[in-house]
Amino acid sequence: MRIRDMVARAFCKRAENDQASPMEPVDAAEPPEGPVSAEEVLLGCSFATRDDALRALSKHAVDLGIASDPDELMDAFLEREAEGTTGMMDSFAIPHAKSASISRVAVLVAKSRRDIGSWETMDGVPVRVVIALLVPDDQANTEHLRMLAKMAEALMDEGFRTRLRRSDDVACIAAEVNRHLR
Amino acid sequence: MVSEKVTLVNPQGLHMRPAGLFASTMGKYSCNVTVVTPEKEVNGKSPMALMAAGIPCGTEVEVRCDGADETDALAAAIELIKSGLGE
Repeated sequence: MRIRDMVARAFCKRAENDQASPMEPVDAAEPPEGPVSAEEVLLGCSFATRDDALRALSKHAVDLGIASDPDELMDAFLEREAEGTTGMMDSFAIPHAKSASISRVAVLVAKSRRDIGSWETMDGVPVRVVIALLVPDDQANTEHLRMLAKMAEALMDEGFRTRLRRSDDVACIAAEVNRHLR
Repeated sequence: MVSEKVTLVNPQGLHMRPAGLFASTMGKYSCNVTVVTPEKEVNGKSPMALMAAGIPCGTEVEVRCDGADETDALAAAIELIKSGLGE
């Protein structure tokens, strides 16, 4: 068992007992694995605009070796936004990018301490939680659709939205997202 | 209630943008709109529900409309899907 999983379990157990921050306990025998790891979760961000958020996520993707060019990745995000906003509901957004510069399927999560401006949403509620989907060009159609479907299904779950909004633990957030991406 | 089957032609399936377009178009009608896939039935006016269905290209779906303006709604839905939902 990895140390980060033990820490995540300990935090999640404590959070489970905290009525103000409900979080489902990580399974004792098998913590949820998936495309999201703790290092792919950014907390405490302060994004003034949508483009600030996308730029930070693009840089982080390159820092993690997920993509090779932050500008190309940013362009891919913006190209998608130009087709229609990825701002969803209840403070969530699901920006996504398909690009040859992306080396593997990845999901990055970022939480902003402030409302992210200039990001149109379906319900008018400002974005605070960003779940970015990154897909290589050669997997665009199938994996892209599957992950979007999984994220849409997750966002329809009020419990999921609440847990992500309330959690300040990267491992717990990663585990929660992975649970829905399986 | 009226219904018709139609095949999704979008190369990337019913992802976020076409799902949103379909839902917003159907939202203009008062009738209930249901999209029936081989796996499930989803609310045709909910972009999230349509996205969550993850309908791939080539899937034959049945669109059902039930209400006062069902005939107009169904015609619009079928035309929209056949035309590729703007893609």
